[in-house]
Amino acid sequence: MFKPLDPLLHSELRLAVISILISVEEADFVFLRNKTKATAGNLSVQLDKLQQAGYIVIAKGFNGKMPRTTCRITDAGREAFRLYVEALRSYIDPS
Amino acid sequence: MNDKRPNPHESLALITEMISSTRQHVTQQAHIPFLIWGYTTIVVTLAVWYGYKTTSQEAWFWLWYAIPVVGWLGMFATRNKRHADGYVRTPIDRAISHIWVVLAVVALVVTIASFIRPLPILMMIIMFMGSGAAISGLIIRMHLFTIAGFVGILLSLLFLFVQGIDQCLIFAAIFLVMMVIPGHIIQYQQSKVSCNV
Repeated sequence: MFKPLDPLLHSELRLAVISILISVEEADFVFLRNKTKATAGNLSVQLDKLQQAGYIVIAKGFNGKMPRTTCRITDAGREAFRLYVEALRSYIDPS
Repeated sequence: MNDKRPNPHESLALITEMISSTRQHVTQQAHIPFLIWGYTTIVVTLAVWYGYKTTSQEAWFWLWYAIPVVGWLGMFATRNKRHADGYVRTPIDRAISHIWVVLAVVALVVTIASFIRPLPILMMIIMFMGSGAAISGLIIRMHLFTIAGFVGILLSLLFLFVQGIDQCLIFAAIFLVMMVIPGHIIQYQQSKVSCNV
Protein backbone atom coordinates (compact mmCIF):
# COMPACT_ATOMS: atom_id res chain seq x y z
CA MET A 1 0.00 0.00 0.00
CA PHE A 2 1.49 3.36 -1.06
CA LYS A 3 1.58 6.01 1.61
CA PRO A 4 0.89 9.62 0.59
CA LEU A 5 3.97 11.82 0.12
CA ASP A 6 3.96 15.17 1.91
CA PRO A 7 3.46 17.63 -1.01
CA LEU A 8 5.54 20.25 0.76
CA LEU A 9 8.59 18.00 0.87
CA HIS A 10 7.91 16.39 -2.50
CA SER A 11 9.79 19.09 -4.38
CA GLU A 12 13.43 18.78 -5.36
CA LEU A 13 14.63 22.00 -3.76
CA ARG A 14 12.60 21.85 -0.56
CA LEU A 15 13.59 18.22 -0.05
CA ALA A 16 17.25 19.12 -0.58
CA VAL A 17 17.02 21.92 2.00
CA ILE A 18 15.34 19.69 4.59
CA SER A 19 17.89 16.90 3.91
CA ILE A 20 20.73 19.33 4.62
CA LEU A 21 19.10 20.78 7.73
CA ILE A 22 18.30 17.33 9.13
CA SER A 23 22.04 16.61 9.47
CA VAL A 24 23.17 19.97 10.89
CA GLU A 25 22.23 22.20 13.81
CA GLU A 26 21.97 25.27 11.61
CA ALA A 27 23.07 26.49 8.20
CA ASP A 28 22.98 29.90 6.58
CA PHE A 29 21.46 30.96 3.28
CA VAL A 30 24.83 31.00 1.46
CA PHE A 31 25.58 27.43 2.52
CA LEU A 32 22.15 26.21 1.40
CA ARG A 33 22.46 28.03 -1.93
CA ASN A 34 25.92 26.54 -2.57
CA LYS A 35 24.82 23.03 -1.71
CA THR A 36 21.57 23.11 -3.68
CA LYS A 37 22.92 25.29 -6.53
CA ALA A 38 19.54 27.04 -6.56
CA THR A 39 19.04 30.67 -7.46
CA ALA A 40 18.78 33.05 -4.50
CA GLY A 41 15.21 34.04 -5.44
CA ASN A 42 13.92 30.50 -5.77
CA LEU A 43 15.65 29.35 -2.58
CA SER A 44 14.20 32.29 -0.70
CA VAL A 45 10.67 31.42 -1.83
CA GLN A 46 11.06 27.74 -0.89
CA LEU A 47 12.51 28.63 2.53
CA ASP A 48 9.48 30.83 3.18
CA LYS A 49 7.16 27.93 2.34
CA LEU A 50 9.03 25.61 4.71
CA GLN A 51 8.91 28.24 7.42
CA GLN A 52 5.18 28.85 6.96
CA ALA A 53 4.61 25.10 7.34
CA GLY A 54 6.56 25.20 10.61
CA TYR A 55 9.25 22.85 9.26
CA ILE A 56 12.11 25.30 9.71
CA VAL A 57 12.81 28.51 11.60
CA ILE A 58 14.67 31.36 9.97
CA ALA A 59 16.71 33.84 11.99
CA LYS A 60 18.14 37.06 10.63
CA GLY A 61 21.41 38.19 12.15
CA PHE A 62 24.82 39.59 11.35
CA ASN A 63 28.28 38.14 10.80
CA GLY A 64 30.37 41.21 11.59
CA LYS A 65 28.78 43.82 9.33
CA MET A 66 27.37 41.31 6.86
CA PRO A 67 23.74 40.22 7.23
CA ARG A 68 23.27 36.48 7.74
CA THR A 69 20.10 34.42 7.40
CA THR A 70 20.33 31.22 9.40
CA CYS A 71 17.94 28.28 9.12
CA ARG A 72 17.33 25.37 11.45
CA ILE A 73 14.90 22.49 11.29
CA THR A 74 12.08 22.22 13.85
CA ASP A 75 10.72 19.10 15.55
CA ALA A 76 7.76 19.28 13.16
CA GLY A 77 10.22 19.34 10.25
CA ARG A 78 12.06 16.30 11.58
CA GLU A 79 8.82 14.41 11.99
CA ALA A 80 7.66 15.40 8.48
CA PHE A 81 11.01 14.25 7.07
CA ARG A 82 10.75 10.92 8.94
CA LEU A 83 7.24 10.32 7.61
CA TYR A 84 8.34 11.32 4.09
CA VAL A 85 11.21 8.78 4.10
CA GLU A 86 8.86 6.14 5.50
CA ALA A 87 6.39 6.87 2.69
CA LEU A 88 9.17 6.70 0.09
CA ARG A 89 10.04 3.21 1.30
CA SER A 90 6.49 2.07 0.57
CA TYR A 91 6.98 3.08 -3.09
CA ILE A 92 10.42 1.51 -3.46
CA ASP A 93 9.76 -1.67 -1.50
CA PRO A 94 5.94 -2.12 -1.45
CA SER A 95 6.18 -5.54 0.24
CA MET B 1 17.99 22.71 -8.54
CA ASN B 2 14.37 23.83 -8.91
CA ASP B 3 10.82 23.06 -7.87
CA LYS B 4 10.55 19.81 -9.88
CA ARG B 5 8.81 16.79 -8.32
CA PRO B 6 11.27 13.90 -8.13
CA ASN B 7 10.26 10.26 -8.38
CA PRO B 8 10.82 8.09 -5.26
CA HIS B 9 14.24 6.85 -6.41
CA GLU B 10 15.38 10.39 -7.24
CA SER B 11 14.13 11.56 -3.85
CA LEU B 12 16.16 8.95 -2.00
CA ALA B 13 19.25 9.69 -4.11
CA LEU B 14 18.85 13.41 -3.41
CA ILE B 15 18.49 12.88 0.35
CA THR B 16 21.61 10.67 0.41
CA GLU B 17 23.63 13.13 -1.67
CA MET B 18 22.70 16.16 0.44
CA ILE B 19 23.39 14.44 3.77
CA SER B 20 26.68 13.02 2.52
CA SER B 21 27.99 16.27 1.00
CA THR B 22 27.03 18.20 4.15
CA ARG B 23 29.04 15.78 6.29
CA GLN B 24 32.05 16.14 3.99
CA HIS B 25 31.88 19.91 4.38
CA VAL B 26 32.77 19.61 8.08
CA THR B 27 36.32 18.53 7.26
CA GLN B 28 37.03 21.09 4.54
CA GLN B 29 38.50 23.86 6.70
CA ALA B 30 39.67 21.64 9.56
CA HIS B 31 43.32 22.52 8.96
CA ILE B 32 42.93 26.26 9.63
CA PRO B 33 42.67 26.09 13.46
CA PHE B 34 45.61 23.66 13.52
CA LEU B 35 47.77 26.11 11.52
CA ILE B 36 46.70 29.17 13.53
CA TRP B 37 47.31 27.60 16.95
CA GLY B 38 50.38 25.72 15.78
CA TYR B 39 52.20 28.73 14.32
CA THR B 40 51.12 31.03 17.18
CA THR B 41 52.46 28.60 19.78
CA ILE B 42 55.75 28.06 17.93
CA VAL B 43 56.47 31.77 17.42
CA VAL B 44 55.61 32.71 21.03
CA THR B 45 57.58 29.77 22.44
CA LEU B 46 60.69 30.65 20.44
CA ALA B 47 60.32 34.29 21.51
CA VAL B 48 60.16 33.23 25.19
CA TRP B 49 63.14 30.91 24.72
CA TYR B 50 65.24 33.55 22.94
CA GLY B 51 64.27 36.35 25.34
CA TYR B 52 65.03 34.35 28.47
CA LYS B 53 68.19 32.79 27.01
CA THR B 54 69.66 36.19 26.14
CA THR B 55 68.52 38.25 29.15
CA SER B 56 67.75 35.72 31.94
CA GLN B 57 64.71 37.90 32.76
CA GLU B 58 61.73 35.87 33.99
CA ALA B 59 59.43 38.62 32.74
CA TRP B 60 59.65 36.93 29.33
CA PHE B 61 57.41 34.17 30.69
CA TRP B 62 54.44 36.58 30.66
CA LEU B 63 54.65 36.25 26.90
CA TRP B 64 53.01 32.82 27.19
CA TYR B 65 49.70 34.62 27.63
CA ALA B 66 50.08 35.98 24.11
CA ILE B 67 49.23 32.49 22.79
CA PRO B 68 45.49 32.57 23.61
CA VAL B 69 45.22 36.24 22.65
CA VAL B 70 46.93 35.89 19.25
CA GLY B 71 45.28 32.51 18.62
CA TRP B 72 41.77 33.82 19.16
CA LEU B 73 42.52 36.94 17.11
CA GLY B 74 43.69 34.62 14.31
CA MET B 75 40.51 32.56 14.58
CA PHE B 76 38.42 35.74 14.50
CA ALA B 77 40.35 37.12 11.52
CA THR B 78 39.89 33.91 9.50
CA ARG B 79 36.20 33.40 10.27
CA ASN B 80 35.16 34.66 6.83
CA LYS B 81 37.64 32.35 5.10
CA ARG B 82 36.46 29.42 7.21
CA HIS B 83 32.87 30.20 6.24
CA ALA B 84 33.57 31.15 2.63
CA ASP B 85 31.13 28.49 1.36
CA GLY B 86 28.51 29.55 3.86
CA TYR B 87 28.08 29.03 7.57
CA VAL B 88 27.02 25.65 8.89
CA ARG B 89 27.15 24.20 12.37
CA THR B 90 26.87 20.47 12.89
CA PRO B 91 26.71 18.41 16.09
CA ILE B 92 30.31 17.34 15.23
CA ASP B 93 31.45 21.00 15.14
CA ARG B 94 29.85 21.50 18.54
CA ALA B 95 31.44 18.37 20.02
CA ILE B 96 34.90 19.33 18.78
CA SER B 97 34.68 22.93 19.93
CA HIS B 98 33.50 21.78 23.39
CA ILE B 99 36.40 19.34 23.64
CA TRP B 100 38.91 22.12 22.89
CA VAL B 101 37.21 24.49 25.34
CA VAL B 102 37.50 21.87 28.10
CA LEU B 103 41.16 21.22 27.24
CA ALA B 104 41.90 24.95 27.17
CA VAL B 105 40.33 25.38 30.61
CA VAL B 106 42.35 22.43 31.97
CA ALA B 107 45.53 23.90 30.45
CA LEU B 108 44.75 27.27 32.05
CA VAL B 109 44.14 25.72 35.48
CA VAL B 110 47.38 23.74 35.23
CA THR B 111 49.22 26.93 34.26
CA ILE B 112 47.81 28.73 37.31
CA ALA B 113 48.67 25.74 39.54
CA SER B 114 52.26 25.88 38.30
CA PHE B 115 52.63 29.29 39.97
CA ILE B 116 51.96 27.59 43.31
CA ARG B 117 53.85 24.32 42.88
CA PRO B 118 56.41 23.39 40.18
CA LEU B 119 54.74 21.22 37.54
CA PRO B 120 56.03 19.75 34.25
CA ILE B 121 53.81 22.30 32.56
CA LEU B 122 55.06 22.02 28.98
CA MET B 123 54.84 18.23 29.04
CA MET B 124 51.29 18.42 30.41
CA ILE B 125 50.21 20.99 27.82
CA ILE B 126 51.54 18.78 25.02
CA MET B 127 49.61 15.85 26.43
CA PHE B 128 46.37 17.89 26.58
CA MET B 129 46.81 19.31 23.07
CA GLY B 130 47.84 15.92 21.70
CA SER B 131 44.70 14.42 23.20
CA GLY B 132 42.65 17.18 21.59
CA ALA B 133 44.21 16.58 18.18
CA ALA B 134 43.76 12.80 18.45
CA ILE B 135 40.12 13.06 19.59
CA SER B 136 39.30 15.65 16.88
CA GLY B 137 40.90 13.41 14.24
CA LEU B 138 38.90 10.42 15.44
CA ILE B 139 35.62 12.36 15.39
CA ILE B 140 36.04 13.89 11.94
CA ARG B 141 37.77 10.74 10.63
CA MET B 142 40.98 12.51 9.62
CA HIS B 143 43.54 9.93 10.59
CA LEU B 144 46.47 12.28 10.04
CA PHE B 145 45.33 14.45 12.96
CA THR B 146 44.78 11.35 15.11
CA ILE B 147 48.27 10.03 14.36
CA ALA B 148 49.79 13.49 14.90
CA GLY B 149 48.05 13.73 18.27
CA PHE B 150 49.39 10.38 19.44
CA VAL B 151 52.87 11.21 18.10
CA GLY B 152 52.74 14.46 20.09
CA ILE B 153 51.75 12.57 23.26
CA LEU B 154 54.63 10.12 22.76
CA LEU B 155 57.13 12.91 22.00
CA SER B 156 56.15 14.63 25.26
CA LEU B 157 58.29 11.97 26.96
CA LEU B 158 61.30 13.90 25.64
CA PHE B 159 60.68 16.43 28.42
CA LEU B 160 61.93 13.78 30.84
CA PHE B 161 65.38 14.08 29.29
CA VAL B 162 65.67 17.84 28.69
CA GLN B 163 65.60 20.38 31.52
CA GLY B 164 65.42 24.16 31.84
CA ILE B 165 64.58 26.74 29.22
CA ASP B 166 65.68 24.44 26.39
CA GLN B 167 62.43 22.54 26.96
CA CYS B 168 60.90 25.37 24.92
CA LEU B 169 62.70 24.06 21.84
CA ILE B 170 61.19 20.60 22.34
CA PHE B 171 57.79 22.22 22.90
CA ALA B 172 58.00 24.20 19.64
CA ALA B 173 59.27 21.17 17.69
CA ILE B 174 56.40 19.00 18.93
CA PHE B 175 53.85 21.65 17.92
CA LEU B 176 55.46 21.69 14.48
CA VAL B 177 55.07 17.92 14.16
CA MET B 178 51.68 17.70 15.87
CA MET B 179 49.82 20.65 14.34
CA VAL B 180 51.63 22.62 11.64
CA ILE B 181 52.86 19.77 9.40
CA PRO B 182 49.55 17.82 9.47
CA GLY B 183 47.70 21.13 8.93
CA HIS B 184 49.69 21.86 5.77
CA ILE B 185 49.32 18.28 4.49
CA ILE B 186 45.52 18.48 4.92
CA GLN B 187 45.51 21.93 3.31
CA TYR B 188 47.42 20.53 0.31
CA GLN B 189 45.07 17.55 0.03
CA GLN B 190 42.01 19.82 0.20
CA SER B 191 43.43 22.12 -2.49
CA LYS B 192 44.00 19.11 -4.76
CA VAL B 193 40.41 17.97 -4.21
CA SER B 194 39.14 21.51 -4.96
CA CYS B 195 41.17 21.63 -8.19
CA ASN B 196 39.76 18.27 -9.30
CA VAL B 197 36.14 19.28 -8.70
